[in-house]
Amino acid sequence: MSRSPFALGLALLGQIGQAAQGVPAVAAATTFLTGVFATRAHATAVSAPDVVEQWLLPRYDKLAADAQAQLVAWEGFCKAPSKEGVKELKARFDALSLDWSGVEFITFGPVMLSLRADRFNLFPERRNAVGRSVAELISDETDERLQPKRFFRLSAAAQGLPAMERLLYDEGADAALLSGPEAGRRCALGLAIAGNLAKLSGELREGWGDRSTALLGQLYAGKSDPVFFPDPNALLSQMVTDLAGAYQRVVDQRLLVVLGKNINEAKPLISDRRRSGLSKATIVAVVTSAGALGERLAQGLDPKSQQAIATVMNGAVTAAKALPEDIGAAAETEAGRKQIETAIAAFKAAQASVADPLAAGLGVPLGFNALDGD
Amino acid sequence: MGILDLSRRTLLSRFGGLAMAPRVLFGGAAHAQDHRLEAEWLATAGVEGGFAPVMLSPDFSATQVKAGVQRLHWVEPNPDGRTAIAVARRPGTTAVLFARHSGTVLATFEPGADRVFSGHGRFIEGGRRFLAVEIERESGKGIVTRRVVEADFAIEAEWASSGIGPHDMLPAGGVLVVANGGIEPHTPEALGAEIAGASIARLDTETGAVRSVAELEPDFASLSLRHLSSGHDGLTVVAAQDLLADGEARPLVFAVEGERLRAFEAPDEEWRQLRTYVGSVAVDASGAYVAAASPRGNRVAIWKRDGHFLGSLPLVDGCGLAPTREAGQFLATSGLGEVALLKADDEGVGVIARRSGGPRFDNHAALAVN
Repeated sequence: MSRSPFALGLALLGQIGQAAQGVPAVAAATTFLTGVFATRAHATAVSAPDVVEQWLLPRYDKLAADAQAQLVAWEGFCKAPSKEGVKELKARFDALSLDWSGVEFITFGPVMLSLRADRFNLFPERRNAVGRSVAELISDETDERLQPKRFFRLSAAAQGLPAMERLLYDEGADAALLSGPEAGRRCALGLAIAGNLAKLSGELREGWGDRSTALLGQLYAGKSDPVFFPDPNALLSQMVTDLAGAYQRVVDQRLLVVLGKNINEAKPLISDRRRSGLSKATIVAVVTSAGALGERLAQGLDPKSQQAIATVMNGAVTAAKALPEDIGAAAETEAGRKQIETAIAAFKAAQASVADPLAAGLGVPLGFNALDGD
Repeated sequence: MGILDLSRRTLLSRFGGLAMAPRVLFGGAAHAQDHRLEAEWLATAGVEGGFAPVMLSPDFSATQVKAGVQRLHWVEPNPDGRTAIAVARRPGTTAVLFARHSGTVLATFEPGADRVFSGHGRFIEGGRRFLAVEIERESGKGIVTRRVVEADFAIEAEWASSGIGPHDMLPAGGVLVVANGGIEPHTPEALGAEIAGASIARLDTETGAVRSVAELEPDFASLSLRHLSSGHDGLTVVAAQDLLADGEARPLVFAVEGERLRAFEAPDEEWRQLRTYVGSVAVDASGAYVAAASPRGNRVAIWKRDGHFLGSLPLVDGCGLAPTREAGQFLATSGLGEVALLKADDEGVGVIARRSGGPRFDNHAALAVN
């Protein structure tokens, strides 16, 4: 081979559509947005950059603000630990955790880089990865690994919300934060995690920029990006795919896994956010945020389809709010299992509506590889 | 430099060039054609009305074969150059034989009684026989069926796959290599499972007798071995899916070396970027490079055949991978309708062409043999 891929790529940049070294002349085709489904009404009414600006960025703004507030709370607490301070830390965690639930299913944009999603919230975890990481860091007498330049390289299990939940809500956590031999270490770890979450949430928001800068500016300018948006027109597809994934994540990772095959095989201990008591609230946050995205995207459809999507997605929110507070405990009772199964049916209906009428009506392909495995 | 240090700028320099060209539509959803089709690659896709085999021409335009309701998985080209078979993924029960030059469906056949297809099958003996991986509904036991093509795909022999959850299989190095995935991912049994029970079985191609069974070392017990690819010189690789999400970085690509599985190398961050799932794997035309795609990680990673990691590229919802006729090149397809031409050499990897607007490509693509 006489030329590297890089040289080839650069050559091709200057020879758009030309053959090079046996590469066929390639035409980057029109996406479904303007092509195959051109006859579908309202298919171009939804602009992906507008959805980013109006639906996603306000959520990232809140995430960044609440992460910063959590960091400030930890800084204050570590200077003067108090019972009230612990309450404040928990309130800050709860807010940030629910913020994250509203955007956790988004896989495009700056969240793609540097394992940011896993570092923010490693979920689902197995083999007590978070517990082991937290215990190991607490027992470490040096604070070298807690420094920002080292901390972000540690296991994702130690870096994010699940580790923070352990620090705040594990049995005896309140007392251990306030006094005793581990109090200083726990404070230092909490501060490190809070700092990391503030940095990550800042990166997520800053990476998008605004209409004239960074990724959002690029999108509004219609410019492709080899890393994030090789084809800007595919962004709408990514959105609907992620939206379908939101419901699937809830069903597969937060409900079915806890239900088990039968009541005797229920697994309450792997219920998400069971320690903080947010197992139901987390699901409500995901489904509510997903519903808002669905309704925003549905603005590109005819009124009848919009109504159909609103009905089914509102139904999912209602079903989420009707869930028992403690998903794990509910999985161990017949009545609770019925409630969970009812919610699952509502979430699956919402997921189905993403395919049709939403994706079909918008005329965009719905990806189906990212959440299935075979 | 690890993935955590990568800025967009450094990624851009690493990923090399990107070719974008004038926009034209893919060939519309055609069925049987009057003219002769040029099928350079074969794939399966989600289309209007269901799922269909798809033929990709040298310019990447896509022509679909008749759609059906069952989701298809692998397409196996017949070495005779005339036909191909698309096999339904589990729990499907249809395999479709179609003509590559017309797009016409010639025949369909089903798995044995009370069984489902796993999604994979291979021609052997110059296209006169077809091997399919089948799974018993009740027991989950894996069976390789040997079928006579000219006798309407009648089963002439059945062999145990020598493991649970068989998924892919191919003839290589004088034996039949079967990837027994163990516990099926995304099933109740897989939830929280830490031991997949996967293995690579090597069977006699004539009798189905077991030559050897290779298993992963205990540290990698959570891996489900699922997809295979081989080069013309006998290099055989298998790609895995990790049932665990415990933050550990485990290799997801291995070389099959007799009774041993040799893990490919990559920085921990790169393995983690694949998000526990490789959906397809391919060896290039020269046998010098291996690519693996992760639709969950939105990436394609490429290695040298000795397991040395070369680099990775972004491809949203990308899973299908196939060699081209050129050394170091791979065709990659995505569930969002994108086709990318990837290039590797000893300096790194890059994207040299892209085309969007195609159908929702499914997990696999294959280079047509002519």
